[in-house]
Amino acid sequence: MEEATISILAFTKHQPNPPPPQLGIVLLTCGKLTNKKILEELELNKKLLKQGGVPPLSTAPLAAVPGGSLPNLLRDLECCLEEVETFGTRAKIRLEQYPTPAHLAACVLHTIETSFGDISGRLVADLGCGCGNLTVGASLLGAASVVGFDIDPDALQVFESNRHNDFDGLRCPDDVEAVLCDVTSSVISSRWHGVFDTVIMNPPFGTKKKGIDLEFVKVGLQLAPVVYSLHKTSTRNHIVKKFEGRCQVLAQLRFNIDHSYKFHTRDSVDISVDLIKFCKK
Amino acid sequence: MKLLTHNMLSSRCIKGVDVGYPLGIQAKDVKISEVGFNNEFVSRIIPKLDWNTLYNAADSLGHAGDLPQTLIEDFENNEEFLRKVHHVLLEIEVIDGELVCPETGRKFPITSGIPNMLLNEDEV
Repeated sequence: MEEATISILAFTKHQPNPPPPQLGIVLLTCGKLTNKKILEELELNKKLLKQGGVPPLSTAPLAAVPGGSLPNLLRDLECCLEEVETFGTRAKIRLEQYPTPAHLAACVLHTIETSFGDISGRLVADLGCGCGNLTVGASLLGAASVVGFDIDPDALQVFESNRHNDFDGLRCPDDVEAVLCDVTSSVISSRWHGVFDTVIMNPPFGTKKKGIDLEFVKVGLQLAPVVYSLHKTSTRNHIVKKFEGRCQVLAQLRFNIDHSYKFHTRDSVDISVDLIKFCKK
Repeated sequence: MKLLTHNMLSSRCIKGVDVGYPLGIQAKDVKISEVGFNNEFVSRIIPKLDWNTLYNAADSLGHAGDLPQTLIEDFENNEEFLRKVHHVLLEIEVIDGELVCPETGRKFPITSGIPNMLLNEDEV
């Protein structure tokens, strides 16, 4: 994994749905931005936000912020998630398996917790959990219990070894577990609809199987009142239109994809993804 | 598979199955592990659970202990009771065994603690 995997690029605004004031916390949790260049870019982005435009993608990676001044919690979380084993060479393209990079997973989870309080003490579901990066991360942030759901038995085998990792004695995420199933089939009893507090997910983006990303969102909203999900920025307009009034783009992030598949011609490529919060009506 | 997860799973994913709940448990290997107790979480989750399903699942594994068969009142302030529920919900884990659809008898294997709810194409 390259060192500078992602950066919090910008905080975006969808006009009919302005972001809540807590969003500022996202910035704070990602380290004291002492780097002048980054500060200037943020200023620029803020101005653009006021004008109603979507800010440009930043090019300065977060890992380049000098001084290593990330708050301990976020830094510890990221360090632990670096240890989470992933698909390796066994990733399956038909399932669009791309591991959530540690830095991105840590930022996303930390934001959900510090801005919205939706992890600690909560019952959390991770749909399409794969090897369990987000599942383990949520557990490390104090979730009461986390259940991961995935269709791939190989990924869940790695998940099992991750859940028994003690992360250098910090904590063994024993309060997580996995179910092997098709997320879009009805394996959850209808009386359990709305019982989960929070759904987190890095779903398939729908590149290989059209519409699967939003099917995951719908299942998520059956299980919990709030769903935090990663989506390709290029699909933002479509999603915002489809879930008008029920979704909010919280942040635009850079998702670094290592050379995972044979058809990738470059060693590593960045794609732009949105962290979107979906709510029931 | 913890009994929390057993409480939510159904086999209504099978074609022709309406409810598919609760799933029977045939356990070959059960592990007990310690999980941190969260008073607030347990008392919040109890009213949302299917109590009968939880009791019967624990009973079928021989771990119901003195858990009451029907849910008691005012459980929020009864820490002793909440700890019992916590134990049954989160600390008992079926490592190896099977879940059984109550309507069709279809078996779902549990291996390394993970229930396999995947179906064959002709069952969907």
